[in-house]
Amino acid sequence: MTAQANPLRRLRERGRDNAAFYAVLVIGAALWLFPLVSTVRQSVQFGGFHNYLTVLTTDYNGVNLLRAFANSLLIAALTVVLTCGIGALAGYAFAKIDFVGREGLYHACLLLLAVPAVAIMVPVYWITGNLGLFNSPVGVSLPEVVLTLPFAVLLLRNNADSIPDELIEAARIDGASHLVVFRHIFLPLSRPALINLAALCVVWSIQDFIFSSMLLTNASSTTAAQAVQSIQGAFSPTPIEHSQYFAALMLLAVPAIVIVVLGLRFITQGMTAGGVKE
Amino acid sequence: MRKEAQLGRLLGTAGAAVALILTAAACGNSGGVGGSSNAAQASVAAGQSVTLNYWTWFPAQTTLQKSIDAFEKANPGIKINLREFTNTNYQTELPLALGGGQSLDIVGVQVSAMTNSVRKNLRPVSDWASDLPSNWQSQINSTMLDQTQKIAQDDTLYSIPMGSIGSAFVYSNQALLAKAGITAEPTTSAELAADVAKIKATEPGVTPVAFSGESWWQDEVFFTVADQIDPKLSDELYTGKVAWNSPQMVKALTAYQNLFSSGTLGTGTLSLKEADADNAFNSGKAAFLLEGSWDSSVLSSAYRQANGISVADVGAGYLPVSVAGGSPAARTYAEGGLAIPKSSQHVAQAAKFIQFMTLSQQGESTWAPDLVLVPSLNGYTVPSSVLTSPAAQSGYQTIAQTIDAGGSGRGEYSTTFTSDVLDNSLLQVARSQITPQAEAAKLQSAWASGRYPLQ
Amino acid sequence: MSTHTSTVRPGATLAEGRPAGPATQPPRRRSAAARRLRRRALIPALCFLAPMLALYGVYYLYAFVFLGQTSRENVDLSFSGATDAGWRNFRLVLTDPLFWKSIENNLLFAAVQIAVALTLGFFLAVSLSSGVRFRRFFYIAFLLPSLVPLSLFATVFGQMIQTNGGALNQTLSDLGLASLAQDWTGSPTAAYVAVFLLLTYLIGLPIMYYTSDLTMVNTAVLEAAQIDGARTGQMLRLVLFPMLRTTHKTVILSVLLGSFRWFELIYFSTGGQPSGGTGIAGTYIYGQMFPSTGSAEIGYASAASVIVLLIAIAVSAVNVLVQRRRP
Repeated sequence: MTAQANPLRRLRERGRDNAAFYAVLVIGAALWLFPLVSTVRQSVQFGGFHNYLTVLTTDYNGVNLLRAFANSLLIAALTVVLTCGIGALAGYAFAKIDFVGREGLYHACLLLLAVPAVAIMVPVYWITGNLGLFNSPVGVSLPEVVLTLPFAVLLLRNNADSIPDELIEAARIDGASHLVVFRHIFLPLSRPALINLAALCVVWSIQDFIFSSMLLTNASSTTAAQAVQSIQGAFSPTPIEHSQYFAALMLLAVPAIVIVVLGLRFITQGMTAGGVKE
Repeated sequence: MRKEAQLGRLLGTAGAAVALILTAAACGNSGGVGGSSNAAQASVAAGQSVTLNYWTWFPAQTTLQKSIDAFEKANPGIKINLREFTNTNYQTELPLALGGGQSLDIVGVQVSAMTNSVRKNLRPVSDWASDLPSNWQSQINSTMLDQTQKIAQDDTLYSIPMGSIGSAFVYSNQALLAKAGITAEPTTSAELAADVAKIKATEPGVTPVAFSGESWWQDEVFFTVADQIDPKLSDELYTGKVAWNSPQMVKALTAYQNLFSSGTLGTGTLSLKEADADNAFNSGKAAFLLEGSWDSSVLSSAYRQANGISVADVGAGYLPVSVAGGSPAARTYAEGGLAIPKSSQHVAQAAKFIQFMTLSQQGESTWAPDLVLVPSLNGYTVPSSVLTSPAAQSGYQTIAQTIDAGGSGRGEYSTTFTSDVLDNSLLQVARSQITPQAEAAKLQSAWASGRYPLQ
Repeated sequence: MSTHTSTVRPGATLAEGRPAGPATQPPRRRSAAARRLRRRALIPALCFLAPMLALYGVYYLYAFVFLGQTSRENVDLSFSGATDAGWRNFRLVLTDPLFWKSIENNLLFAAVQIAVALTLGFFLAVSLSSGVRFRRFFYIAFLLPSLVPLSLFATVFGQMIQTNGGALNQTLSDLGLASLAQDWTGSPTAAYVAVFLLLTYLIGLPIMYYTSDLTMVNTAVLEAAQIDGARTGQMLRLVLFPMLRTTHKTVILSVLLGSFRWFELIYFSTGGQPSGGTGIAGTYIYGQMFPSTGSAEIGYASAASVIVLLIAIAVSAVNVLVQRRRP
C-alpha cells in the first residue's frame, strides 16, 4: 500500500509520531500476547513439550481433548445451519413481506437481543429434559440458536435493505412465489451477510460454556469450552501435572485460534460488506 | 442452469442439515427431568460382562484405581468405568446428571454436603441390602452409619460411608522444619507464629503456611478455631442454641482474624485453590499445609513415592490452639458415602462393588493404606508399615485421636447460609476488612432474615 | 453468556446510516386496499417465520412462563415436591445487598469497557489502519483474547492473577516493580483493577468495528487538516474521533447489550471474589443455582433470573428506541 493511498498514514508522517505509533502497537501486542506466552511457559516448565503429547493422548476424567474438539465443532455446525436457515427465512419475512404487525413483531424480537443464557438456565434445563435432549448436541445447539436468532434477524434484515424492493416486486409481478424469490433473489444477495453470521455463530458456539456444561454430562459428549473446567480434577497437584494442565489449556485454545486466523477474513469482510451502503 | 444448480445446492444443504440433526439427536437420552423413578434391571446372560459407571470426587484416582483393579480381578464379569471430578465441580455435576436421568451405577456422595441434594435420585440402602451380607450393619462403625442416616432430611440411609474425616489439621515438611531449627509440631498459635518467623528467616522462597483460599475451606478453619473454645460450638450455632453474635462467636472471630493479622497465615495465600496449596506443599515450596484429614496420604512414604511428591518426610498435628484456655479440636463426620442411583440398571453388581469397598478386608486394603479416611469397617487397622517415620507415626496418631474424640459435626449443616454468607464474609475477616464485632452482627442478621431456613 | 459473551454486535454496525425500522417508510394513512393486502400477506409471512416462532415459543415464551411459576415456589433441581413461596423469593432477592452489588458491577464493568474501547480501542484501530507493517500480526494479537472461548481466557487470566506464583505478580517483581504486586482477588480495589485489566484485554470487537468503519469514512479530510497545521493528536481528537460518531454509538450499545451475557468472564477469573465484590448478574444467578454447599434453590434462582431478564429487556428497549430515532 503506498503512502498516499491511505490518508491515515498522514497521522504518522513525522518520525516521532511514527515511532510512537509503532511503540504503542509493539508494547500493546506484547501485553496482549502475555497470557499466551505465560501459559506456554508454564506448560513446559516441568516435563517440556512432551506434555502436549501426553495431554493429547490421555483421557482426562473420561474426556479426550480431540473428542472434545469434535463435539464442539459438531455443535457449532448445527448452530450455524439452524441459525442461518431459520434466520434467513425470518429475515426475508421481516424485510420483504409487508404484513400486518410486522414492525411490532420485529421490535419484540429485538427486545430479546440481550437475554443472558444464565437467566434462562432453569427453564432450558427443564425443557431439554422433557424433550429428551440431555447429552445430545441438538439439546445444546437449540438454546444457542435461540439466543443468536434475534441478532441474526437484525443482521439479515438490515442487510436486506440493500436489496432493492423493485427487484422483488418485479419478480412477484412475474408470478414468482415468495419461496422462489427467497431462493433465487434473497439468498444469493444475502450471501455475504450469511457468511458473516455463520462465522460469528461458530465463534459464539464454541464459546458456550453454560448450556454445554449443564446439558452434557457424559464424558464422551464434553465440549472444549466445558473441558476447561471438567478436566481440572484429573490433574493431581504435582508440578508435572500442573504443567500438563496448562498444556491442556493451550491445546483447548488451538481450534479457536485456527478458526480466527483462517476465518478472520470472513468476519471482517462480512462486516465491511454489510456496513458499506452502495 | 445457474438457478438449478443453486436449487440443487440448497436442497443438498437442507438434506445434510436434516441428516446432521437426526444423527445428533439420536445420541440423546430419553426424556424427563428428575430421574426419581427406579430404572428396570438389565438382565445379564451368563458369561456376559457388565460395565458399571462410577462417579466420584474422592479418594484420588490413583488410589481408587488400585481398588478397581483388585475388584475387577476378583469379579471378571464386571468392569468399572470411573469418572473423577473436583470437589466443587462434583457438587454441580452429580445433581445435574442424576436429574437428567444419566445412567450411573455407583456414585460417591459427600455425606455432609451432598446427601440432601441428590437423595431423591438415590435408592435407599434398604432397597439393595438384600445384595449385602445379612449382618452388614454390625460390621460398620455405628456412629458413622448413624451420621450418614441422620443427615438425610427424611432420616433414611442412602449410602454406606467408607469412613470418617476431620478438619482442619496441619501437615509439615520435616526437612524444612529441621533446617529452620524447629523441633516439634506447633501446638499454639504463638508457637506457630514463632515457627513462621523462623522459616521466613531461613527460607525466604518458601511459603510458611499453605492452605486453600477457596471459600469453603475458610469455614473449616474458622470452625476449628471456634470449637477450640467449646468443642460443640459450631453445632450449637447451627441449631440456634448460640447466637451468631454471641461473645464466644466474637472471641472465635477475633482469634481467627489474629491468625492473619499477626502474619502467621498470609492473606496472599487466599488466592490459591486447594490443588495449588497441595501442589506448593508437595513440591517442597511450603513448610506447613493446612488441610483436612483426607490429605493424610502425604504421611505415607509409599504414596509420596508413587505420586512423585518430592518431600522426604511429613509430620502432622492438630490446628494450633488460638484461643486462651482452649483445647485442640476438629470437626469430624462420616464421609465417602457409596450409593446406587435410581437410574442404575445393575443394582446387584453395584452392591457387590460397594460391599467390596466398605465391607471386605481385601477391599479396604486397597485404599485404606493411603490414609484418606479413618475406615468405617470395624476391626480394620492400617498396617503399621505404611508409616515409616516417627513424625508420620505420631502425626497420624494425633489425627486419628482427634477424629475419634468427635467434636462438632463437620459440615453437618451445609446450608446455603454457609456458602453464601459465612464463607464470603470470613474472607473479609481474614483480610481485616471488617471487625469481628461487625461481622458477628452481620451474620446474626442474615441468619435471622428468613432467607436461610434450617434444613 | 457464553454464546454471545461477545461484545460483538456487528449488526449494529450494519445498521449504521440507515434506519433499523421499516425497509420502506409506510405512508401514515393507508388505503383500505393496502390494509387488506398486508393482512393477506400475513399467511406467507407466518410460514417464513414459523421455525423461528416455534423456537421462541418454547425457549422464550414457555421459558418465561415457567420462570414465573418456579420463582414463586420452593423447589430443588429434581423439580419435585415444590411448595408455594408466594413472593418471598422476590422479596429476598430484592433485599439482598449482594444482588444489587452484582447489578451495579454489571453496569460498571460495561462502562469501563466502553471507556477503554472509545479511547485505547479507537487509537489501536487507527494505528492498525494507518498502513503499518505486520498489520495482520498486530490485528490478530489484539483480537485473539476476544475470540478464544471466554471460559478459557478467563481461566488463564485467573491463573495469572494468583497472588503467589501468578505470572502477573512474578513479572512485576522481575521488572523490579514488586511494590505493585497485589493480592488481586483479596482487596476490593485490586480485584476491580484486575477485572478492568481483563476487560481491556477483551476490546477486540470494538477494534474490529473501528477498523472496518475507518475504511469507510472519508479520511481524505486529514490532508486538509494537516495543511491547516493540525498536529497528530489534534487530528485524532478533533477530526477523526468525531467522524466516527456512529461507530462510537455502535460500540457503546453493543458492549452494553453484550454485558449481560458476560458470565464466564467473572466465573473463571475472580469467581466473584473478594466476597462477591466482583460478582455480576450472571455469577449471582449461577451461584444460587449451583451453591457450593447445600441443594440448588431453583425458586430463588428463578426470581433472580426474572429480575435480570427484565433489566436486560429494558436495556434492549433503550437500544431499539435509539436505533429507531435515527433519521
